[in-house]
Amino acid sequence: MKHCLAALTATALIGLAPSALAASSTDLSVTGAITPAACTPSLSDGGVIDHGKISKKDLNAATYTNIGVHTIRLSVSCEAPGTFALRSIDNRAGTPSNRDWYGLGNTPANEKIGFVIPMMKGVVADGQPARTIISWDNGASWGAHHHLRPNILIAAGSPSDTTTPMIAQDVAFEIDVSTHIAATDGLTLNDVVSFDGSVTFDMTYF
Amino acid sequence: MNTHFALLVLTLLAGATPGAHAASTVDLTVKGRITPIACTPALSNNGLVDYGKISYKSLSVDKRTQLHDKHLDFTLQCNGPARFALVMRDNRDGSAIVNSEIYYGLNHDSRGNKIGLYSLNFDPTQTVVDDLSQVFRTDSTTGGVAWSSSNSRPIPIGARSYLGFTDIAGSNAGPIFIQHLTSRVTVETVIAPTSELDVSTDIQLDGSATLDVVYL
Repeated sequence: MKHCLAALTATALIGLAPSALAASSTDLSVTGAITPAACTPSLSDGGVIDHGKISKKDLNAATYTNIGVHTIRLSVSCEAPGTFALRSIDNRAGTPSNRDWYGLGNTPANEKIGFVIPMMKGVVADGQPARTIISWDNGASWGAHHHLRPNILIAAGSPSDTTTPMIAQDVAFEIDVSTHIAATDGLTLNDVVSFDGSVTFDMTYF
Repeated sequence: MNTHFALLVLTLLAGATPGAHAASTVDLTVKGRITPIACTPALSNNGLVDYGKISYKSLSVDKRTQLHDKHLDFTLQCNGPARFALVMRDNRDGSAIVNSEIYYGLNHDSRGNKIGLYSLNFDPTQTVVDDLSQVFRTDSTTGGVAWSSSNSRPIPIGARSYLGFTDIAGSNAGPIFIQHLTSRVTVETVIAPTSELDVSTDIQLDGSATLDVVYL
């Protein structure tokens, strides 16, 4: 009973003197916004680049091999004009043999198979040529750039202003995707080894 | 640190000879304890969980939508071993879409609709206390009088129930003395069906809560 009273009076003191207990508190904020903006991203060819079967003999032993460039179209279609960007997430993070780029997975012997370099060749916004811009800091700052890297944001900027995403309703990026296989000296290739790079593009609104 | 001081004892007597006027007197006692112990709680990222902009199209029209879990690091540093519990006050009280002490509100949209709710979850397996190898949580719905059997299951913190920690599994003895605690906590957020919200304009998620240390 004594304990009970002590607890109750302690609670009363919190109510009476909140400033005195300020140091024993910390605040949590949960923020964000639900926006009427609605955009749908899509990729040409169902988003699949298939290199088929490649002979080990056609790959370099001592250095990486570029096994081909494919052009894909990344389109964003919105219900209304707005400012938006896309974040690319490497679903094979930790596996690129060149850490700046996107992975292709590992061999069964746990060796990094290679890496993928996407380069934005161009972007069209609402039918007009625009500039490809990127942000390393979640959209705080932007600059004109061509390369796509994991976790950065990409967007369309107007030809006259590449410091911020432009207002647009329909945007299409043309992206050259070049696939590289690591030096085969470092790969165990006694059996057929599959590689399966996987990247998710996620809409972000501003 | 068992040294406590009487804060204040104030007794109002309605007569000089209370014995003789027993039926017409009443005593009021105001008491408490001031402890030299001070614990400072903190959350990483200044306690800010930001979901950014979420398209209404990515939310369910007729069901609640749970957003991705977000993590923060909670630390509690005391200037000596302290026996304490944690509670969290909702500064948006009454705006959670489920009325429960473990659910906190995200405020209202422009038409006064409740936007959703969130909870802050403590996982004893993600909690480190001093040099203990294992930590268990216990909670009290009676302001620290009785404590639940301690265990290692995650628990959302409540607005009224005390949350405490111990190094003994299955104990009803309540929290132990702790000087330093760190815990990776998880914020789980749920948005109301968009059919119940005004999605014609931006809706700001505006949750705010205050985590308090209660000294036992």
